Amino acid sequence: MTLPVPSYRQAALARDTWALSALNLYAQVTVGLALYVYGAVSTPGYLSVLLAMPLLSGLLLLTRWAVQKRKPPRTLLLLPCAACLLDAQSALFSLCALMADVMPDISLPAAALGCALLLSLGLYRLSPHALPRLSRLLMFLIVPMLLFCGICAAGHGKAGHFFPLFGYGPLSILKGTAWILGAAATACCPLFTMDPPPVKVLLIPPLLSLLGGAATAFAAAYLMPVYALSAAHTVGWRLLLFTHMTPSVPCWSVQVCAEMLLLLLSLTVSVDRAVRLLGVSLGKQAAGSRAAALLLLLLVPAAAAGIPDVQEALIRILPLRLLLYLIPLFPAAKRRPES
Amino acid sequence: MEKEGQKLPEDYAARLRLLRERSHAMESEDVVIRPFRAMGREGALLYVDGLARSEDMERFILKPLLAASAPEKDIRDHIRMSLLPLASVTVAEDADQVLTRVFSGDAALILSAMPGALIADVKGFAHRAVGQPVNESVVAGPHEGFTESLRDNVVLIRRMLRTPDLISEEITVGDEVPTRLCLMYRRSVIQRDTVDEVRRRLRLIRVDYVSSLGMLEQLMEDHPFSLLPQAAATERPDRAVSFLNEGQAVIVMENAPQVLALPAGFWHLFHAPDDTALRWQYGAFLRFLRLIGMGLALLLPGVFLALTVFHPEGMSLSLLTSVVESQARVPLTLFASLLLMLFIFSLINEAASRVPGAMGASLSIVSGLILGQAAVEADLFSPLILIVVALSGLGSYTAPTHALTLALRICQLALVLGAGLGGYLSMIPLLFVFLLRLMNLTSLGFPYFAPIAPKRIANPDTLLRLPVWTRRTRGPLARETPSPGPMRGWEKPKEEK
Repeated sequence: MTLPVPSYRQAALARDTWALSALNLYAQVTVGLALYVYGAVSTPGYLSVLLAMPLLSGLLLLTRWAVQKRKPPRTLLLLPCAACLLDAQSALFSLCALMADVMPDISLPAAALGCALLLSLGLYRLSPHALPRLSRLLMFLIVPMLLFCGICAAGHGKAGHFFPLFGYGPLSILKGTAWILGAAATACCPLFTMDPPPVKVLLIPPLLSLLGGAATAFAAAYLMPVYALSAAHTVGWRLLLFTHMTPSVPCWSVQVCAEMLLLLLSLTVSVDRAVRLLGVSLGKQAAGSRAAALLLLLLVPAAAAGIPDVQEALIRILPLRLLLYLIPLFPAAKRRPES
Repeated sequence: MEKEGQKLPEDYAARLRLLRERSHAMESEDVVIRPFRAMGREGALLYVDGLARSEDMERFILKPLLAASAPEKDIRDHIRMSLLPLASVTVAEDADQVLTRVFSGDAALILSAMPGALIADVKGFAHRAVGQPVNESVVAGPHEGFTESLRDNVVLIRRMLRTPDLISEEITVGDEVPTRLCLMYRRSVIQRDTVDEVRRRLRLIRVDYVSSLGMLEQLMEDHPFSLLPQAAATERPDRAVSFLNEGQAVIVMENAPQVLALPAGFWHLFHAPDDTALRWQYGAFLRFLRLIGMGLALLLPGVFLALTVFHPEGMSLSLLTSVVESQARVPLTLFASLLLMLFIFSLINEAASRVPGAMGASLSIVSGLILGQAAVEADLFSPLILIVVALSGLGSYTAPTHALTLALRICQLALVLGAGLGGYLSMIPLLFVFLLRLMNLTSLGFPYFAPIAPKRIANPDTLLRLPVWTRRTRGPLARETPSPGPMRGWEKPKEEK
């Protein structure tokens, strides 16, 4: 294409990139809730959600200050690349867990491989504008679908069963805090490769998505049936929580489709960002479609392995995302700003 | 693309010989070289019988020439400026130019001691009169459609857009057989880059002959392997004018009863011609209906198959019971039945577009009674399958453009194949990849789903039609111009009420 890219399109790309980050963040929060939260249900602790918000805002502003015109050393960008890959792994794992819940007889390796190959085709020679535009379109679909499921589930549960968002006990709370901050941190990964947008654009979409995630947790905690408190359920079961609470038949289809779209988007965007960071760390503009396909295939074995084992491994590893994101910021902060 | 041709010789006999040989006048009986003697000189008139109007040649070329006396000064200038009472008389210096014009319906006049040739516009070939558009009928709005005549089509547009701001540039494409095009745009509305890019692409087309507008479209589009078209073709002058007013370029081609608008995104294909002519409430309702219809066309067969075969827990018990009972006596699996019925539906569609008018009634009887009712009564197909396919077919017809209808049907088929493989678990990833590739589409660099994705400043009537007076801009393709003021200027401002 020989036409020059107008400035308004660059501005739209920046806005849509942050909208995409917000949607990805919501997907990761949903996965995290299913991994960490639903298994530990007891006494009220939802105020910790509100306390986390100023921390998150501070993190984002710190990132902006540190990275704006101060690019970190290229090789250190491999660390946020690894953080994005962890996001991608958790998304693919959750997708497989959901598939196993919907169709227990399915061959998980085949399903994971099929998804990876299909998404490789989707990412082939994809323009950098396509994924952010897709987020705008999917927001019109996914948000109403999930709201519909929430409305269907409302009134069908037993009220009053709150639980702490981060579990209870200092170690549990620290782990939970680390995963949610890590999820917010990887949402800020585009800052390593693009100019920072205005503060309003930087803060509002991630904050809104975090509030959405917290609202989901609040609603689910409020409405979760009593029998779910003690039963050990899979991640897939937890992701489809609303469908287990309501007798509404359309709700099942809507939530399955919405969750699948959300997880597919999270997987795609995480791999795409990992590829871009990898490319920049190697000194290229982008690493190319083959790198995306290779990374997707590398994620398949872990996603297709035994669900409980992978689930345990992810629960241990995911909080480390925050460190992978923060480490490059300190050398960046020491550098002089580029003119 | 115009290329340099063979220059006409100075010698009259050599000139005549060259034109006779190049036009194959000795072999083609309708290529006529009419010799004459005028002003004491030998001359000849070259034309194609049927393309050029004989009465005009006799009255406006031969009669004045034969009656004229030899001028003292430049004979070519004298003939062109003083003798021939025609609207257009131009000078041609090379043989290719002469022959291109002659085979377009003009007449070429050569005279001894007059260099080159004079080309007189005496076109008079038969062509279809302006009638109703065939494929874009509307309830409200004009009922004129384009014809195969380039001049008539340009005139139809000019009649609706009476402004000198409307530019129409003539361009030819085709290396061996030139085809005339007219590139039309509004100079003050279109972006400069857009015009330059369209011109550049037309200039760089390398093909012997452009046989149709569809071929031209495929030679110009950004993504030739995409299912969706990246240009909007229309038979309606009012629609062409609305494209021009929104900052698009319109290409009119001779022998094509449609014009092509570039760049064009999804929403240009989604909007129907009479959306603006109707009241906004009706327009909004119809667009909503169209959106639902297209969604049904795309998803209904796949979702039905996924639920009944792989995810029965997603259906209500009563519906599931109906499906099982109706499918119990059918020898084919649900997947095979659905594929076969979709294929038959496509066959009926294709046959209906090819069948002569008189046999249209027979086709309705065959498809409705024999294939529909009889097949169900013979337990070859379940009635639910028929309902699903019919609903999705109706939904596909709500798409205002034929290209969009076909694209929907192909995507529908792919989703059915995906659903047949693994239900939602294969259908949803396939849908996701479709949407992802759609976001990659551009038309002359313009994002295909703008102004929704990415968001652009635009009028609030992209998805649903809102009142016409809420419009503040021409659209994302046009140059930004200040709004002249409230449309309903006769209304008193709110503070005065």
